[in-house]
Amino acid sequence: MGQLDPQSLPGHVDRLYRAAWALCGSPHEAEDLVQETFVRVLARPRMLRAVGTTSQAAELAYLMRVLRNTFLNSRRSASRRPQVSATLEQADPADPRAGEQAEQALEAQELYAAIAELPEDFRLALVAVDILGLSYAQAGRALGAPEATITTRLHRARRRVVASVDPPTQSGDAHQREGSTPPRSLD
Amino acid sequence: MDYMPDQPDREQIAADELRIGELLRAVEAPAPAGLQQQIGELNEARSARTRPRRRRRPLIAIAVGFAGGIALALVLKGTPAPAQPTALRISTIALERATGPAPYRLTATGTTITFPQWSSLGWPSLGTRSDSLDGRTVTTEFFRSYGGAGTLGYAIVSGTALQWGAAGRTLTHDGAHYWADAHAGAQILAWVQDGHTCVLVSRSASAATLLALAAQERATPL
Repeated sequence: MGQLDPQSLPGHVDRLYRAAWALCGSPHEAEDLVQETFVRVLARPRMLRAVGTTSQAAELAYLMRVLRNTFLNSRRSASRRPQVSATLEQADPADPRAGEQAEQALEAQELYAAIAELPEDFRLALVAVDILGLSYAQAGRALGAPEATITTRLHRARRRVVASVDPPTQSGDAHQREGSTPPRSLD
Repeated sequence: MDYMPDQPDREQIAADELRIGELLRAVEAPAPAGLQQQIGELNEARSARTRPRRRRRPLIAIAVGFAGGIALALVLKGTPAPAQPTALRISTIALERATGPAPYRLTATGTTITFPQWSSLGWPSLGTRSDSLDGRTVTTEFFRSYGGAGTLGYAIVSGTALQWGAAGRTLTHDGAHYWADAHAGAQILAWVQDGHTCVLVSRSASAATLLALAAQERATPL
């Protein structure tokens, strides 16, 4: 057991932001989600379970758990809100940053949107392992699922995202199944 | 629905893992600077809260002495006192970041006004901050839209009602009077409630949304 060091948290903001973007599919919502996550984490001292892992991995696993809970809570609350809010939202202007997206941001939007389309369990597994960099065991602990379940969800999540971003072509499908270089690149 | 085999072969699994890594690296970008700064401020505020008092006392004494010295120098030099705060100045505070967690229920310091519960309108609380400005306490609660309309700050100022500011316009809605302005890319709406100035400000929500929320707030018995 160790205490979460708040001074180390700013070092995780980039990864957490990308994780939040992939979870909710919107960079704007991701900013709010990360802010809310950090407000919760910093509200009081936090103890970390860091058995058999580095402190950085333990911090990321903890942040993943808080991010997931914050995300799920916000989704639940959003689904409960009454129609009046929709009326208010209609009066709001479009996101002013939308027109300033660079090419990379558009590619990021496409990829993160594909991840955000995944079923929730698949999405969380992919975010924990491929974006935050947790091991399967750490992801399992953070998400409350057995390691084998995380492995299965992760494989299926990756398959769906790759299939979505790299639509199969007549010659490319067989090419892909052999594990060779895919036909399309976001680089 | 796409065809998803139950047991994908090992080559496919490996190829997908490589491809996902490639795709994610290609779009790897840092978090926006504003978010980085905001997290830094949250962290700083937390450090200030948990710093041992024994160490703070000498610093406070030095700060008080320093401030007293400056005040004396200003009096001796005959420099005019700074302008009274206006709703416009308060709006800049309400555009800052939260330094405390979302409260269950918050009453603005120096007033009897309780901040509203707007989560039922799609605007849950995001956090709070408290500032001092020319002897007044400015209590601000921040709200975040579930619908992608960003965030807004709601500041309530202790003491008597403030001047609005040089620009802006006054308007009446549902029999209540408001002052509205757009400044530095933000929409500002202010009014007087129980003798105190209340300011709503947002860089992303429209003036109509601010007015609708303010009207809802004033219609709700406290």
